[in-house]
Amino acid sequence: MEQNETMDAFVHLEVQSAYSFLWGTFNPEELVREVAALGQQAVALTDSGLYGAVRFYKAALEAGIQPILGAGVSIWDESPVTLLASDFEAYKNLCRLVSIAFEGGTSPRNLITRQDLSHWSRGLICLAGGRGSLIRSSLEKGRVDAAKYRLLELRDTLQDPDRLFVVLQNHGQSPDTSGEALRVMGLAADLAATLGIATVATNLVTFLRPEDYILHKTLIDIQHHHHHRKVSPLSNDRFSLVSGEEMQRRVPYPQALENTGYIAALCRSFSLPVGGLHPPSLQPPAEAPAKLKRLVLAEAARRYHPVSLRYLRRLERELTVIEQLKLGDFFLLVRKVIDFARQKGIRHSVRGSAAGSLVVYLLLGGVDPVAHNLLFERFVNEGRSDMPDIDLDFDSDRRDEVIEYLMELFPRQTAMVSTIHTFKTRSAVRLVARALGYPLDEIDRLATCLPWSLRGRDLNRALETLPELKESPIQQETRLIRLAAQLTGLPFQSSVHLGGVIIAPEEIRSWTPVGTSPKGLPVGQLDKDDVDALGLLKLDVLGLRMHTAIRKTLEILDERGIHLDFDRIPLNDRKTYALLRSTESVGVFQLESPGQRNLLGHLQPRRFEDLIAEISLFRPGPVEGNIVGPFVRRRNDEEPVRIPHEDLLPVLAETYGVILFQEQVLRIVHRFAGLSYAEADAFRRAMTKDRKSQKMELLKQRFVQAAVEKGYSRVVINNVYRMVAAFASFGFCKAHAASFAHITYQSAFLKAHHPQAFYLGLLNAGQVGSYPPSLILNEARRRGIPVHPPHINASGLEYQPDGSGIRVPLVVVNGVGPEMARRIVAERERRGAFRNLEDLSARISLPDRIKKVLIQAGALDGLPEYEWGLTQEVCHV
Amino acid sequence: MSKQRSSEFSSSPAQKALTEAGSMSVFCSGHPLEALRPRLAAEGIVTARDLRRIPSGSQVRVTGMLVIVHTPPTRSKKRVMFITLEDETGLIDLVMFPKAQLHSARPVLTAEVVTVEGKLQRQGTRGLSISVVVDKVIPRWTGLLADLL
Repeated sequence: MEQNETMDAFVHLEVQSAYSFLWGTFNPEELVREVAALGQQAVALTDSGLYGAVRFYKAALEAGIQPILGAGVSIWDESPVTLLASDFEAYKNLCRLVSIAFEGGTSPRNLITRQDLSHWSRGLICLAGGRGSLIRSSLEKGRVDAAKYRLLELRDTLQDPDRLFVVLQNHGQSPDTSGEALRVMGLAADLAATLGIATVATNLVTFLRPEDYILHKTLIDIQHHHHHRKVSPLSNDRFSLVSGEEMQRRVPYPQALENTGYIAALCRSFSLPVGGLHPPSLQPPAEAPAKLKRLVLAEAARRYHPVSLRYLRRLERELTVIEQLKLGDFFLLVRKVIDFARQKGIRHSVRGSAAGSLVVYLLLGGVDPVAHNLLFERFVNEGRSDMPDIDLDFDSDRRDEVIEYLMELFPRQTAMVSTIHTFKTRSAVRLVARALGYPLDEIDRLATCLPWSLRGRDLNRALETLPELKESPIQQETRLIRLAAQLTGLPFQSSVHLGGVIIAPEEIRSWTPVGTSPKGLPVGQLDKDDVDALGLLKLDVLGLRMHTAIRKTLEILDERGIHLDFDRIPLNDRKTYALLRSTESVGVFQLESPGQRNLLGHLQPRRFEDLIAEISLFRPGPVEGNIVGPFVRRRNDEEPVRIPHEDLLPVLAETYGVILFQEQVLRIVHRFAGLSYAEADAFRRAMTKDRKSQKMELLKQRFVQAAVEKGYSRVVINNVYRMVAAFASFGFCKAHAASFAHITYQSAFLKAHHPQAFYLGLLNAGQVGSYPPSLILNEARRRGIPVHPPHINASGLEYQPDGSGIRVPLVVVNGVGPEMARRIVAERERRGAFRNLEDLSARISLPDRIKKVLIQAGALDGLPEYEWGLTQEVCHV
Repeated sequence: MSKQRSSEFSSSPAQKALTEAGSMSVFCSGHPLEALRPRLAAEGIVTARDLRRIPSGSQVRVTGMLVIVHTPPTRSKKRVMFITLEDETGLIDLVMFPKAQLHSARPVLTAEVVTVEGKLQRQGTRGLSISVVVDKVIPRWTGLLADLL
């Protein structure tokens, strides 16, 4: 080992953050801050998975700390070892090994075999013999030969045997335990020296400060009480982030301490490929643009007769940018997915800025972006270096078919994006209370009125300021409050993202460890931000319950012989707008919330553009930016429309002079200052994200200078700039709103023309919007649609039409689950209607309490009177 | 042995509502407040439908089942609670500002049925943007259940 490669500062190489779920107690950013505060130059993150890796990597680089990525895995003899990646190739191997550990689940469950480690260990640094290992326990028992055997076995397995290090640790707290640790350490150091294996000093960092030990113990208690897992907490508060000086006291082996720096030096060339794009290659790169062009032009020719020059120019512009950015492949892939959905009859739509692209419209459908004045450059422009998002919504009930198709299309390159759940206020209080042994009813009492999450205030402040908590019994629970507040925001568990699918350029297990979701799908350890950072392709295959509701409504209409060419219905139906103007919009996509119903009363929509505005206005941005009031007043002629310069009339007239859409910011900057759309988009994003940045100031200067060159007066330029600066961060993406407005219109059309079928569609699609089934039924009844109670001879498994009314399914009866309802319906279909309660009882085994509740619910109403004696017996009437 | 039909268990609207509340997750025969309307009307409590014709600015009392409570972010950063109730004639949207929350936030977050006193706001060209600005919220379910029985 060359001394000049070593660093004099100590480096922590075994560190478990809160991404070692319900074990570690801190976020990677906190770790990096503390490491910097200690003056250390580098630090490793070695959780049991790599969930926090990208986040840690970015935070460390930002703080000027060298990040070392690693993981703790269990090998064939059940011993934990820590593996550190010295370069990106080693990182890929690490991903493979962690994948093996996670295979079949979303937590580590498998041991790494000798064969696995032998195969995938190139470039990995292996730290062995620490807490919990057989090497250490053998040494503790004085069985040096056994420890030697295991160490040699491990060295023989590794592809880089000189990168095996024996760990020297001292977590002992008392003189006795520390003495014992020193004794074992001596044996380990001697053994390592005998075998010519280097040693390294580590502390198994699980909390940043000794006083956070209580958090670790609380997390373990949560594992006990919530997950019923048998796991022991660490024995004392010594597993914290300590200084090099303290490590010298604990591990009096200078070489082992120095070797931490040596290992950091070995890993110095490591970097994650953040910032670049790494899309998969689907076909020879040269072929994609021509293929895309052919496809798009053919589609245009099919839709427009003839294709106007305006559309051709727009297509040319879009295709040029797509080719420049080498995105043709990506567009063709998405088309392939939509082709599959079309073949299978799965309802779908495109959401987000992608709906502003004519190419996307022709390939995937939606609303015509030219007709609705949507801007392509908000979606993609020459200045964007990130991967564009095309978010796809599918019928929720059938979304999995699309995901499975993608997995089959790229069998080894795909995995679901993961989502990390963090402790939220209320869940933290409940879990901590449970961990502290409070009975459930007491926990309910304490958690009453606690918000699920707190926006911008911590738990303590909420307890001080929220009036509903003033007299809450939780006010007395200082320990519970302190622990819950500390846990809030920490990662709690991983799960599968609702629809994000990663498609890697090569085997996905080279980019992230892959586990298995409860549905059996491969799931990576990257969340959506990590995927963006690594420049991987992500397709959002989302489920939209309104698509399910619409499909179910159309199926009912089909059965009645009403066949709507639904995706082509004109967008000017009077009855539909009349319904919306009445504000009776319960069940209508995006317009049923109290705020939207209120806004409908103000806006009184008459055309599709009004729906786009309606959807855009009631959003946090426009509400916070005070856009709603001026928009409504100007639309209703209660306030004059003001536009700072007539050149902006074509941009701002549609919104009465207020900036409502993000696209308008781009257009103003482009039109008024003459900057390119790429610059305009950078301007918008700078204003949205970091308004104090130097970049923003430069953009302002550029805007002013360019506008001066175009001949505008300083007064006008300042007015326009002030307007743009004030509203840029509050606007909503018009393309997204237009895409949603289409579904809004479709759902309102169905409600206006076919209310019974629409209510049935809503009721049978799961939780579609904000309102429960009881409220939908109440509204149906108010609109003259009878609601019939569940009945053993009439109800099905879903809500179903019954004449002009709605027949409620058996599952609404308390205690009757889907399985019991299935048995009743199947028996009725097999052997005919039930004649009476006795007949029901003879044919289906049902508990008395269920018979009673069925009778109370009216599910036997109308059956022959002479049998009701039994009914009474059951009911004890 | 008596030969009482099941419908006799729930012959009156009030009894029906009560039976349904105990046996199902939805109401089939009608909204439970329908049965209580005479009593509520006697207390001067108006319905969601009435709100569409009462002049804006009037002081009103409404009763309904709690459906949703929203606390979206606001410009002022002060918490405003948007609450939706439902009675047998429709939805009633409420707005509760911090002052009223001092005494009324808790019932809104814990009760199932509430009576609300407040000022009616009807806006928009047709007066269809309707909300009640809450002065006071009174939890009601227990008392009303007693009435049903």
